[in-house]
Amino acid sequence: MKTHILVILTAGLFLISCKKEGCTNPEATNYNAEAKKDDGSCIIDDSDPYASQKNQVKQTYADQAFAVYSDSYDLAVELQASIANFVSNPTQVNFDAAKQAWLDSREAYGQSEIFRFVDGPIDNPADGPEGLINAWPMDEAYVDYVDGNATAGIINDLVSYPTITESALVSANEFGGETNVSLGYHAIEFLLWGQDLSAATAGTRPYTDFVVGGTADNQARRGEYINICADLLVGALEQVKDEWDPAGSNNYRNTWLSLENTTALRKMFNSIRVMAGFELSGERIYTAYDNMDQEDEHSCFSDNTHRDIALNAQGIENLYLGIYTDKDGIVVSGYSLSTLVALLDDSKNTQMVDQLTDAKAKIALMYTPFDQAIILPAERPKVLDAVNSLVEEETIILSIAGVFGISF
Amino acid sequence: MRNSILITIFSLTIILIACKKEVADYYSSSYSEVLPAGNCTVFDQSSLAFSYRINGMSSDQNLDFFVGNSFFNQNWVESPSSTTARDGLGPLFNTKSCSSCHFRDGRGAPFSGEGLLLRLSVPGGGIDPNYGGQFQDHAISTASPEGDISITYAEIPGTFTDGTQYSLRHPNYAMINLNYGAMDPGVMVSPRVGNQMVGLGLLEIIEESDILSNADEADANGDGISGKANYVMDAYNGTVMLGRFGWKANTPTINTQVAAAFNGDIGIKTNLFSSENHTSNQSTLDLLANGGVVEIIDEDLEKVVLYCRTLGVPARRKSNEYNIQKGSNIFNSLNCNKCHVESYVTGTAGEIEPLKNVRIYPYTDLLVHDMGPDLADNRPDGLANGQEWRTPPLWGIGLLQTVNNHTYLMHDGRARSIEEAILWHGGEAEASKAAYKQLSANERALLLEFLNSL
Repeated sequence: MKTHILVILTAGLFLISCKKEGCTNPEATNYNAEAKKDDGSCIIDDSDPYASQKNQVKQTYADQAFAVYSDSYDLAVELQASIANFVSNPTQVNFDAAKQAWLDSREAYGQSEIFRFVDGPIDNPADGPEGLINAWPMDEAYVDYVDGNATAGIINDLVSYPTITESALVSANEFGGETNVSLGYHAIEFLLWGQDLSAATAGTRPYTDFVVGGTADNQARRGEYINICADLLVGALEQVKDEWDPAGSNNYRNTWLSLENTTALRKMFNSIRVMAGFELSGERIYTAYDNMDQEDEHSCFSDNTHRDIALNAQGIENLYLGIYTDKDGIVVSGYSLSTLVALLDDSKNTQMVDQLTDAKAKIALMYTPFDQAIILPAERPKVLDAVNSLVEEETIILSIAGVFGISF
Repeated sequence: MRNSILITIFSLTIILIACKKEVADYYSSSYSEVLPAGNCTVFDQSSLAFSYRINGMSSDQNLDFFVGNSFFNQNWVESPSSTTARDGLGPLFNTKSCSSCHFRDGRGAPFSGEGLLLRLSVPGGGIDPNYGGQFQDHAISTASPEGDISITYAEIPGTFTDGTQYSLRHPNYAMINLNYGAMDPGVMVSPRVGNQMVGLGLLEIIEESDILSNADEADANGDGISGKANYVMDAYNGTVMLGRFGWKANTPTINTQVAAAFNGDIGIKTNLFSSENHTSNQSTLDLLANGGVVEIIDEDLEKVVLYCRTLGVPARRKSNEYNIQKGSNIFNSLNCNKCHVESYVTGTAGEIEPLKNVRIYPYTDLLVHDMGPDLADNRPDGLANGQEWRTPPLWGIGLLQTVNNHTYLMHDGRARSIEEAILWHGGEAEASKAAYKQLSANERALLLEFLNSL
């Protein structure tokens, strides 16, 4: 009998302590505002008068991460339903609805990408699913027919892939630990739009590619393939969302909130500098500008790259200003990095806020679609303006990090 | 009662395991060695620690770095495709991108497609008539791969002087399921894994005289350690030059290294290597779609080269601690530093200003050494014989686990840890290894702590 009580007691202890264990002293530099039980980890640094504000910034970051990944997940679920509906009833109307659901889902995911680059749930080396969600370039001929090869791809390969199953596609996507980029958002995009072979329009795959007896071959297999892609996308986003869920017991959110606040700030500055100065300005915009290759762009099938760019930039602003407007128009906000920076160096904060505005404006001025913005001689300078404005964001955030004694 | 205590302990253990914390450790000291590459040191300690460019480049170079980064990281795809700048994969290949064997700009693992490849040659110096100079175990969907690589390991037990047991795994390689006829019966095979990418541009401009000052090919000083420069024809410059890169120092310049890897490993043609990587006995592959005469243009190739030259070296961790200094002393007392030479000042060659005149701590002499029969591939490469290997740089070695989730070391990833790598040393390093085995457990731990701080 005593044993039973003890078991219940220890089980209870386990639940309580694991649910929210961390430093519960608000004065500490690693204060975890959601911790219910102190784990003895508190680090007190009397020399830091801003410990409290830094801890609040940490909290805002976690709340925003959960909000944007929740939206990404919810919109992916809607995309999944829309695709399932189209595949079971392949009409032009349902096809257009599925494409719209894909475009809608990108609106949240694009803003979530600012949470990359710091070994968080989205892209930590152990199990971060980023590569399964958003990898590119798509290996088109690995998946389906392409211009010049009508029998290419897994969909048309009945010998190697007699049935299209989730396990078959997951293992086909594995290539010695790397990915073939045959799954994720851009695989779905390719299956909905098809190759973009003209300057004037996005890809023009006919909906009848999914109608048995319609265009191309293996229409039913194509439908199975895109359904599985949507299922896997939903699963991957659910995994990331759950890691940020305040209702979760032992997830990354608690790890994040227990970080020493300078470490957390370092991660935030790193995400901003990498997104602004590396990923967005360098890899996604300048590389395409430099190559002038019509399809060397992120969302090349749907011609939606201009939104990817704008949303990535919006993500930087969201993180810095501590404000995210969710898919229903509800504003999720908290004590912001911007407010904290202003306490230490008001002019640098003003500089950053102005630069965020400038970059958004420069991006908005770029010609749409992006694949023409990088080619048309009169439009190219505007692309370079956007690149330079984002690089300036990086320069300013490095200078701000220096105010906190953080160097890269 | 005993049950209750056990259960309590058990559930407390669960709590401890379940609630583990992320520990960050950023170093902030003025101690000079914490900056292994001076102004080319970078300070991120995450899984992206190898992926940051150096500071101080021109704005054009900063942007070109990203173009290079993009071509390094993204997969190449089969022709024909919409992304014409990135198609032309294969038809035969080992992997689809540079980054799959240098994942996160780090180190490859000894598995197909993740960083392992087999070089081939026949006695007398030629290549295999059917399979060429490298075995490609993957192919595009319309072609057959050359075959599969089979690796089996045999455990070899050993004992430290203090009685502690260890085990090394000895690999055996076989090429099976061959699709293009028989292989030359005398074929010589050299397995290689991809190396980490940090600081390459700095190593490239160490003055040749500084490297040669450590060479002692005839062992004139009688310390049992020779050190030989491997002079090889450099395809990019068209002249014989001092080899610096690759496991046998068989490549003098990053230009040649990058273009050769594009061609041999991914099947991407360049102006430098303008034929596909298959042989005339595999001519059916010529009929397949390809990405054009040149599949990566010179301008883009140069940007990949710039990228490879300008990845910064991560700062050391905990460098001022007493243990690290003790470990460093042991490193030197075992003569590890005779080949893993600590420091240089870079020269002034090239167009990238921040790489010049930098005090660096790469821990290599860039020379080849006889490493004994156990490690030998018995395949000559330039002036390096079948037992000779280049001293690899040690900078970044302590971050491999963080970046790549593994610590497979040596030329073919046979060592599973730094300690196993030490224990594989033979030949000129036999005495150093023997001395390591005689250390106490505490001294071994100090040495490893030092190495892990690099």
